[in-house]
Amino acid sequence: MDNFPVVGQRIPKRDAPQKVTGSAIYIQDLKIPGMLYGKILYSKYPHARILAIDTSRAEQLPGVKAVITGYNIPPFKFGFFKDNPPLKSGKVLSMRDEVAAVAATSPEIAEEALEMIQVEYEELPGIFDPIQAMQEGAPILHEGLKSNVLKLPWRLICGDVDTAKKESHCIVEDTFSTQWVTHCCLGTSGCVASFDINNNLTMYSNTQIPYLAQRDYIDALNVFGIKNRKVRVIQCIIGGGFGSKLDTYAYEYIAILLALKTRKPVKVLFTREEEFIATSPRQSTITKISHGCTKEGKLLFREMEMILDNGAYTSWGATTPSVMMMPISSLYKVPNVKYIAKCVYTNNTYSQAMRGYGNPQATFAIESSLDQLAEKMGMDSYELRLINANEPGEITPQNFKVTSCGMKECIEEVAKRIDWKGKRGKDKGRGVGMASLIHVGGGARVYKSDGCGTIIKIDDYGKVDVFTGASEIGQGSETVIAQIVAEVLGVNVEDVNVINNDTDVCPWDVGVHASRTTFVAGNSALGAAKKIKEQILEIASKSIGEAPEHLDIQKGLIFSTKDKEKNTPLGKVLRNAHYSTGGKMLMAEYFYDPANENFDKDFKGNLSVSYAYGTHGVEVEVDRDTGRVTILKYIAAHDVGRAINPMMLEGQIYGGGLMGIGYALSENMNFREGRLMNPNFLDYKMLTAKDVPPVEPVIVETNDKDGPFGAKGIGEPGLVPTAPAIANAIYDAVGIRIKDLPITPEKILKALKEKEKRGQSGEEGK
Amino acid sequence: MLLLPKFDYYEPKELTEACRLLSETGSKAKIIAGGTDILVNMKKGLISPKVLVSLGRISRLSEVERMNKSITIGSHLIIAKLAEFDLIRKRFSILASAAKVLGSPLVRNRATIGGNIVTARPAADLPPVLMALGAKVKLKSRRSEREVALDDFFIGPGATVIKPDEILTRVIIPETPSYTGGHYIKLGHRKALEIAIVAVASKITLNKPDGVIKDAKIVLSAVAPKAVHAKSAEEVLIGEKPSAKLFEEAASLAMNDCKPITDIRGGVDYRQAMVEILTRRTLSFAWKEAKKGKKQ
Repeated sequence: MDNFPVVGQRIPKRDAPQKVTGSAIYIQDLKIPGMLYGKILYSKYPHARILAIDTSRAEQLPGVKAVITGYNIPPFKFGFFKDNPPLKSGKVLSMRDEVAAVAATSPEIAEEALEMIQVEYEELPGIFDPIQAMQEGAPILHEGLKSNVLKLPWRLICGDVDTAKKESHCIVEDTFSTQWVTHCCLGTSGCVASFDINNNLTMYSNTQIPYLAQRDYIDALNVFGIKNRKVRVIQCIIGGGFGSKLDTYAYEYIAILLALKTRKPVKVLFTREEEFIATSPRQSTITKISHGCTKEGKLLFREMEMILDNGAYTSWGATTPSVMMMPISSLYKVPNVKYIAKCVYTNNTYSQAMRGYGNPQATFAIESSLDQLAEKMGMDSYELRLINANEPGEITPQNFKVTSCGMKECIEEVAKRIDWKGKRGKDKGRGVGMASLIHVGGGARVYKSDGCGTIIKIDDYGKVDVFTGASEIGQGSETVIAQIVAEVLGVNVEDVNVINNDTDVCPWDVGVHASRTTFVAGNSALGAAKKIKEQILEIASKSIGEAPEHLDIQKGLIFSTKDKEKNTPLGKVLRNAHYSTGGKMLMAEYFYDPANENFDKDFKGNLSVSYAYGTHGVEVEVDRDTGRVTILKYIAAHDVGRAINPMMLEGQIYGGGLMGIGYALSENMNFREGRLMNPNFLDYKMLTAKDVPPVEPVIVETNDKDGPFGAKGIGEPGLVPTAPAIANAIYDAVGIRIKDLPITPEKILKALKEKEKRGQSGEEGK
Repeated sequence: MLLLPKFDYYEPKELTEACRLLSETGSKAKIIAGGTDILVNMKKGLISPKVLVSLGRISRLSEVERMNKSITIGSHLIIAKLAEFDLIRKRFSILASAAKVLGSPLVRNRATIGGNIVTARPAADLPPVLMALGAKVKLKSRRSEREVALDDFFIGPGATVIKPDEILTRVIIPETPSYTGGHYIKLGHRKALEIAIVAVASKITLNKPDGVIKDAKIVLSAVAPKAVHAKSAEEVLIGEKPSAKLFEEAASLAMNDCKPITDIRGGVDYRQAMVEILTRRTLSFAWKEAKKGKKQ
């Protein structure tokens, strides 16, 4: 592949200095003159009828400007199923249900006022287990429904699984389950809602979807009686998203309602405890899986049935099976696939998108089951993976058209670097394991558009302003976009300014999701940069006396590629463009919408223009006495098409890996009858800097034909195969398979003791 | 959002002044040291003292002094400093190692040795090692002063023998004899910002490098309402020559010297099993240390 002066370079993340010096302005820091502080009163019970709410004492507290409840706001529901009112009336369905809200002159007064609100409840029996919620006679949570199972027909059928079962030489079947985990964004959720005199709304927000949120707010305002007004979304610097901010939430509508009522800007900001309790995490799942293969180890079928705890209301969590279908149908070549998933209402918190969007849950089952299959076959699981690995040019059963694909290289790199042959099955107490992933790498057509717009203008001195729809949520999109534009325009990367936080200024984008920003926003920026470059060279051709096709720009100098002596500074050309009769401003816009497809009614179609692949290999040591797992070595090989910025890419791999290790070993939202028992960093075991194992990222470059400079997405893949790779390594080390995440020392010790009791005959997959 | 209730705040420079304030305001007053526990409990509404008396400006309470055959540590010494003193690192290494794994750097920079004792949390890091070291605490009130062995200090979670008008001023640790070794293991899910699922502190003294065990202390933490001695395990060690087999026997006895519960941090069975493992491991390490010889 070509080498470039800017693309492919290890350029430091451009927002890092302001973040580490404390000068970055987060929603936490934002103050607007006259601003009030909103606080939310949550339910006392996971399931109850509200008999009465008395807010009179709270209203009388000096400093309180408004108190609202579900009984004095317009009827409005939000969310994917429109089943969630911002403030509840009638029934509460979970501990995080919003019952009342206060706006006051200080957060302390608002909090004090909450304590003065009297709510009388009649407690109702709750359901906290999706299997119980599906049983006959179980109380129905949402009035008007006949069942707690959501009306979402997640069903993917490819080929003929029944026949494939009969033809299979070897079949394994098992059940795996995963836990609730949460994003742990360092910046907690918050917003400021502010109306101008004409009732136009400005929302200061840390959303990942400014343009879809704009739509949500407009819909809400219509219901609130404010029609045909303008909504502007301005993002502060965002302290992490990981999918948590892909929807709009009750607190945002509460801020809007309080701002409307008080005619003042209102800020709602979550505490850390609220962030744990009242944001929407990754749901728990129970998965039954079976795999079958031929005598040679070629996969013949994969069958999966899954139950997802949806929680009390419906956000994007309920749609994660659509992404789970991707690994289920297309991780390794498997011709016959059947997948059925049910999302079930319970009185737990409600689920949302989280990095990987269902893929980690599905991949845990798939990659654990594949190791079981290999063992039953008497095969090396590395060989089994290689035999079935995806390849360029393949069309998968779900109709994914695989373009670039470095899966085999990833598997081989991992095996080599972890010394697979040398270590697998050898040193007992220590073991190695691996697992692979597929993810969308070229956008994902979830909505009707998967597009992103870019506008570029250049000032008189050659400094470039890029207005992009793509949000920076800490992942580094600003830096990547600046690199792409700098590369095309031949300017220093420092001279490219990226503006990305204001719907009044920036063009449209569908949102930061599906690991799409480098690919989609990158291609959009690339298109705009090329367009403005054409304009520049066109103008320069007159002053230099050379045809535009023989001109190029490097380090801010326009020159003839035939004769470098013929040149002129970029700034001079730009100035002359408008300091002349009949002059013009140089600006360009570009909208890129990848040629990917929405799923058809059978959930088939080429969801992404290209797919990202990767393999993680882990060496663990298991302490047989305490059950503790130590990760000795961690290799993370990723097919990224091309690394626009290898340093930031490695950062994504480290971060994803660590999040994945937490998912595998320690993180767990501990719900007891709908109540979160560990809403803090002491008892929610997100791993700390001291727990970071030696992670070795391996960048596999396949130069994707559709990617900007060949790049594919990397935002989510880093945590997808982590848990099964670790589970497989633990099995290799001590011969026990934990099928229920997280793999805690307690579970390992229990399994070791049970294995001891059974004698040494306790092999799996039989 | 948790609100801190209103209270009066005093920062006396003299201990006598602190004692006077405490005796005059009676049960309405509480001592504040690092505040990492009391302020949280006040915010949660668990306690609501009307007066807080800070020990922060009484400089002697942050000093470490060497006394006749013992060292005394001022109760206001912050945890981060505890591990920095050469004297503590060299002579009472288990105390230094427990101090290093307590909470997070943020907590260690505020929390104090006295605070970690008086709050009487069943999983606190310092009490087990201090009990293994045979520490005493000095309790001072306006009219009296007394010393209480840490073994007799704790009653249960959050409860101690300290009276409302008493201040824990110093922790007194006797010098350890030659051929003494100790070890502290805290078992958690993470390497930092952790509360123990189980922790064990052990200390043994040999009569000579290859001799018999003269003295043994094994203290179990997070497996009972307070840190407890594994008495039967301690007894079985004394007068015996150390060996892996002996330590196994002691470890197995230690399991019955505690009464763990199941909570979100760990189950009864796991905790009980870990008492055995950690007892064995701390004893083996302590033995190695003890054999090394004379203290300097």
